[in-house]
Amino acid sequence: MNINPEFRRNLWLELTTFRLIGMPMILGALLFLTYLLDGKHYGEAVARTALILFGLLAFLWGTRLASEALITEIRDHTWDSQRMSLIGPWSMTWGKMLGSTIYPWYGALICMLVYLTSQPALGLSMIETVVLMVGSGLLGQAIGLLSSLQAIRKSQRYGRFQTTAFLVLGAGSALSVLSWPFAESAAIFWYDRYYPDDRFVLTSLVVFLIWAVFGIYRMIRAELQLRSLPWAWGMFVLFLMGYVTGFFGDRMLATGQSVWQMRLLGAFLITLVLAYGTAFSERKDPVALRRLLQYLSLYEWRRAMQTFPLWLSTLPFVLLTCTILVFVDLTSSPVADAKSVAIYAVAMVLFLLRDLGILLFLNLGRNPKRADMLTILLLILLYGVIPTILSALDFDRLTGLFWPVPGTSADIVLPAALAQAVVILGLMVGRWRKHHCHY
Amino acid sequence: MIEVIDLVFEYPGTRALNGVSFQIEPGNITALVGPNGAGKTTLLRCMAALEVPLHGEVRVDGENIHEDPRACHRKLGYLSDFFGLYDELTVRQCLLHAAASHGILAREQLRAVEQAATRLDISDRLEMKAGELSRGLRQRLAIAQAVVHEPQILMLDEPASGLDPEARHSLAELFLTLRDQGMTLVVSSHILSELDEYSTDMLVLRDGCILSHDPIKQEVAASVCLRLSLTGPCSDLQSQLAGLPGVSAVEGDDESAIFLFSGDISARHDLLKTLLDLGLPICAFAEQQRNMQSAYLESMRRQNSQEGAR
Repeated sequence: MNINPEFRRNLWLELTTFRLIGMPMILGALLFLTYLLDGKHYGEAVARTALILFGLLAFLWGTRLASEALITEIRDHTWDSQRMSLIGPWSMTWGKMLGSTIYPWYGALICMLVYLTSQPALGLSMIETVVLMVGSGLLGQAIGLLSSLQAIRKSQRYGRFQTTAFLVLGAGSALSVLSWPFAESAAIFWYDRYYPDDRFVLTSLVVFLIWAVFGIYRMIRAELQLRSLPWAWGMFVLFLMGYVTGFFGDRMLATGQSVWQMRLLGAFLITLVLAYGTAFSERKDPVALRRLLQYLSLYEWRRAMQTFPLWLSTLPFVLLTCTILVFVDLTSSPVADAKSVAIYAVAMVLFLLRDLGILLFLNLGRNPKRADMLTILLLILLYGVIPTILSALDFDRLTGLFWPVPGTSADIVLPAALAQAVVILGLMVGRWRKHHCHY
Repeated sequence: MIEVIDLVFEYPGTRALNGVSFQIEPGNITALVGPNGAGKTTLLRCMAALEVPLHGEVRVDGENIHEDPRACHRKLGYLSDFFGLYDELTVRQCLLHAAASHGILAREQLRAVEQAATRLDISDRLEMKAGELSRGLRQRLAIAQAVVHEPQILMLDEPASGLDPEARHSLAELFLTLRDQGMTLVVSSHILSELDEYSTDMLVLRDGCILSHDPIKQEVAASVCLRLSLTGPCSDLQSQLAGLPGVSAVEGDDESAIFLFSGDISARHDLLKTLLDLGLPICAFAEQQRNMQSAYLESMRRQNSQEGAR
């Protein structure tokens, strides 16, 4: 039988005899100590210790190893030979994800076993508890690996700060899911119906885990030079819009709005967040942009679609939700409210274009290394510092020049956003023509 | 076998390869040479489908490798200049992993490992950890990993860097053996003397463009490079040599000269006789290996003079 070579390699590296013996000895000693301190009672205290150890192993150590799985290969110069191999993207995905974390999982599963046998499991069934613990651990590790892959795709390297950030992101997600049974539970209201919270959280956990693993698979495909159309990203955007806006109910409504308008607004804001998120997390490589323009100029649509960066693939969703939002508001709301929502939505799209323009303008410069950080500083200035100064000087009306805050004059917001977007995009195009059209 | 057509590759702000085109026939050992920053590594990485060019194609057996890189990786072996090994694995495990990664079935993996280890002469180190090997043995293990799946083409980027002269020599012998076993090799290096031992062709790259792509050994076979040394100076040595039949490309000074001579052994005997009859005080007359260094420098000189003429 052919074992996944990547998984087997990790087994060889991680599960040495010494380590296989060492882990149960250390865990056994800690749990036995708890047992003794609790008056030789195999109950709550042992369960708590086992749960804490499970968290440390699966969430912290496992997520750290998953986050570093690929960067270690790049640092040790073994990634090229992996890319030259015939290991498929799916085998590489689960081989890396489960293989790199196999040793923490070995200890975590021992802890889980102790936990399950030492105390009734949180009012959940045994299977639900196992799904919750294993699923949250896997989710944390998958998010860690996914974030590191994205960082590697962006710059081929990352530092200690980013590793810590991936660890916090992954372990934080896992911990938030696992901590749910300890919080006060209530039925969850989603799309006008109440669902039992345990089922809803477990189902959400499994669905998000599938998305995270699928995301890793798609990025590994790209690393292995396999081309993909951006349909998966589109599906995820739609899923996220559908999932999040399902929580919007009647109690959140403003006067004159329908729940669907509220959900539409939510969907629009989600696309904006995703557009900003992907724009900053992806590489803004002028050569890749050149390649994309080349395909477009040759009408090679399929190839062009395969080259689309995610932030560009998100823009149609932003424009589509904005258009629908404007249309629905103009046709169904009292005129004053509709004008307000529609104009601010359009202004937000224009500000997004301005911000993307700034990001690209700086990335197309001679020294793009710190372009993303510089853009963030500029945006803090534009959205935070300057409007605050204007407010402090009693020029509240002028804050609309920089920030589409409801309440500021629409006559200022829209022309200001349009003018800034046009100027910045013009500068960006000029820089492109100057530096990157021809060498 | 390998066809590179109008390859263009850019890094942001820099064009690393500028319309590179050439062909490599099966069974050749092509030396890829050029100054630092010429684009050698980028070219090899494009040929290994590790990088996607902006324009152009690389075809292996007629198949565009960037259309289906995974299929072409069956036929390719690649060793990068900064190769890595899994130091904590044994040599056997490293080779088993490489075999499995290249799709060799489980029942055939042990045989493939034994064969690669024998080929690279590391059979006696199979149980050692990769991290415990010397630089030369690490190089051999890395090459064994690259050839464990019996690729048709093996590409190596600076394979001899950091090796001692003995290890370099055995590496050269290894390349000739692999060539004799039917493999086509492309070797990038800036140590030209090492390439001399095994290369059949030389591809000179500079500033992302090909300066020349010529067969090395064939040229030597067609015209022998001879060295003539005199006991004392002779002011018109070069002009006298240049006027003789079969003699070309004369270089040197008043006391010695290196030149190309086209002719068989008896013609060479006649040439020596003529030179003695001319009264030249000859103290040495011998075949000179026309090495890659001279061919490379000649290629560079030619390019420089062409650029100067423009």
